[in-house]
Amino acid sequence: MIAADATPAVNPCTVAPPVLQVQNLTVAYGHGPGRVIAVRDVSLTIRAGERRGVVGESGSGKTSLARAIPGLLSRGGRVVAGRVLVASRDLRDLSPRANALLRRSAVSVIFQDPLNALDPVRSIRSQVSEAIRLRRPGARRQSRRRMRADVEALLEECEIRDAARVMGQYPHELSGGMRQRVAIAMAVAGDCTLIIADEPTTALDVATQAEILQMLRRVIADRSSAIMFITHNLAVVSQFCDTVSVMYAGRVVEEGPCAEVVRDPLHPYSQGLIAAIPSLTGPRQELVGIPGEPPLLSEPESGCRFEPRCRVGHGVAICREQVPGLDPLPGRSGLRHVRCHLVDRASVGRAPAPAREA
Amino acid sequence: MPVAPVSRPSTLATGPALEVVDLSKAYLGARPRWSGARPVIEAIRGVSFRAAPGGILGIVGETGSGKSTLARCIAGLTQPSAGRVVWGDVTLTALTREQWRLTRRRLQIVLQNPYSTLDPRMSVGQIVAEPLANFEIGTPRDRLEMVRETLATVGLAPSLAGSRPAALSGGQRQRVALARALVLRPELLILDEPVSALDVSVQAQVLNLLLQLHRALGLSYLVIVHDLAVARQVCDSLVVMFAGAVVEEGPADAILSRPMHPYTRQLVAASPEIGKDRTDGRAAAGDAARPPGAVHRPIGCRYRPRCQLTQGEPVCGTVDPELRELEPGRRVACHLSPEGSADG
Repeated sequence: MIAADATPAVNPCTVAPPVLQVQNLTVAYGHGPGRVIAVRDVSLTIRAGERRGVVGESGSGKTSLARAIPGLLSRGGRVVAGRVLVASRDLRDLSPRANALLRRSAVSVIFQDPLNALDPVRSIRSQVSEAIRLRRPGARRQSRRRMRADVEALLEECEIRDAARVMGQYPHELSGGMRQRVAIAMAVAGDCTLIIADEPTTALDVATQAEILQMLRRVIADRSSAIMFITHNLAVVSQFCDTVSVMYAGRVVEEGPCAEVVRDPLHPYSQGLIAAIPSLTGPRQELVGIPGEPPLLSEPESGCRFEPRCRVGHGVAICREQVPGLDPLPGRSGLRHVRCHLVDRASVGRAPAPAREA
Repeated sequence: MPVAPVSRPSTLATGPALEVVDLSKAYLGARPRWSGARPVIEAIRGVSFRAAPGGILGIVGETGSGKSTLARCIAGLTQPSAGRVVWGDVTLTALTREQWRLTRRRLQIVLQNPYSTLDPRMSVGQIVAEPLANFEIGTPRDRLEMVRETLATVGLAPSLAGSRPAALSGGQRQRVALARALVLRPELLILDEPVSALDVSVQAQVLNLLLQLHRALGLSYLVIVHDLAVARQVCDSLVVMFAGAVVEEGPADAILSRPMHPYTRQLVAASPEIGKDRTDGRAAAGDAARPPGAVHRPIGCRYRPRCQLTQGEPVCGTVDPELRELEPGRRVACHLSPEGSADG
């Protein structure tokens, strides 16, 4: 029962309002000829309660995107174009104070390594109560006893056994899975409308990962929070998310409902990515990797970035010369967008997908 | 410990079987905060298995299950506390330093992280040629030729021989690490998480390369993996480890399609998979994430605190289960598995 009463119930029948709008966002690192454009002209909208996966390999720009939204880009990185609207307000238009207030009340971030989020010299109790004070209006005046009870309840909600004991411990005394649970507890201390999770379970064992994903799904559903779930693991996305954006070389190349994209990928890159994942079921067959390597992002873009590795468009003039747009696909649900000149050919000429019966 | 007669490496038969017998390794933990003796941490305890010559054996298990310690003990990088490793007619655990040096020509290990295992100051050509120089194989000119050949075998352009590791991608680095191990034409290759640091599309390339090299060069692999789907893709047989001990062993396909030990079942259920029913993850819930605790071993079965099979049977709490052959070729360390496997 953590502050759930303050959350307005989302009627699933209406189209939920957007909680995050990223418009033509471009993020660059460095200056001059060595400048790297990590995120290029990315637009995406996440609606209330939506679980959005952002999938890509290293260098696809997914982490830069995740960090640019709450303004946490590392040194040298900056937003050179586009804007980010959280709850329809542009973070840059607000005063620093209002900006900080909006970010802390509306956006939470969960990192891959929870040690980045936790202070090594402060007890779990002290850190979680700070998160509660920051994220819950009115919690500042709470009595110590009440705060202690709130921290314990929050940790228990995140499935930490022995919450009373864990509260007195320090980050280094906890296992990786426990630390990530504490980080999640801090992220959901308030009624955040949007959680940005960057590879939250990548460093964990599969059993822990399954448990934490299940717990995360429950706590964000209780708060009607939306989540932007960034990962390289398409299998995890397919089990956790409603919608997915596939990124390649700084751009979104495909977008749509998760189940549809996974069952019937339309961009040659998404197709290659799925064919490259070994399976635990079905007949064992040779994997089809994507030949070549991702492009250098410091080089100027001329045409489709995937063209040199593309099964369909390799050497095709239009692919080499023109950057394809992220266009909606006619004849589909209207939710699917693909950035490919040859999308008709890509879906026709595709080798049959490996059998993946549930 | 019995000491087997050691013959000269060059006179050994090729492709011997690897046999691990009752191998244990204990470390001393940190001194307790106030006083008392340093605790003994058993990284692996009583591990025994046999790897067939020319096969690909996978060792799977979660973080802290002892997979890497096991590999290091077999490769001679860590001295085990007890037990022995026999490879053909050589007892690896009884070798002297010099004997190990000679044996290592036939037994190579590729470590996990291709970002930290290559010397940044050396060129790719120097890295791959270094083992040849160590064993004084060939003239410098021969070595150049062998390096070029090996680079081609792992799918790298010979022109890369002049590059430094910093200029290479993760997949290319892993190929260089492989080339460095293969240039000596070893008979056994130990691979510690060969693809865990790589992107999916590159991972597929490297897995295909490993399988292709295995077929072409006729060597044996011992592969440490945490990803079960990767294990299924490359391995013939599997050893499943939990808290330092083997809990299940047998053919890879059989284990992954019909796991018998409750731990293996939990691992399979928890593995994310495209197209898998979303509710499947729930099978993994329960006490899954409770760490096994390397210091204070539970008396009885070490998996008992997390086990979903046990109903508090007294035997689980008192007797550490031995590996039993439940089916031809399949051994499971569980008191309850035959009954349990009926519903799985």
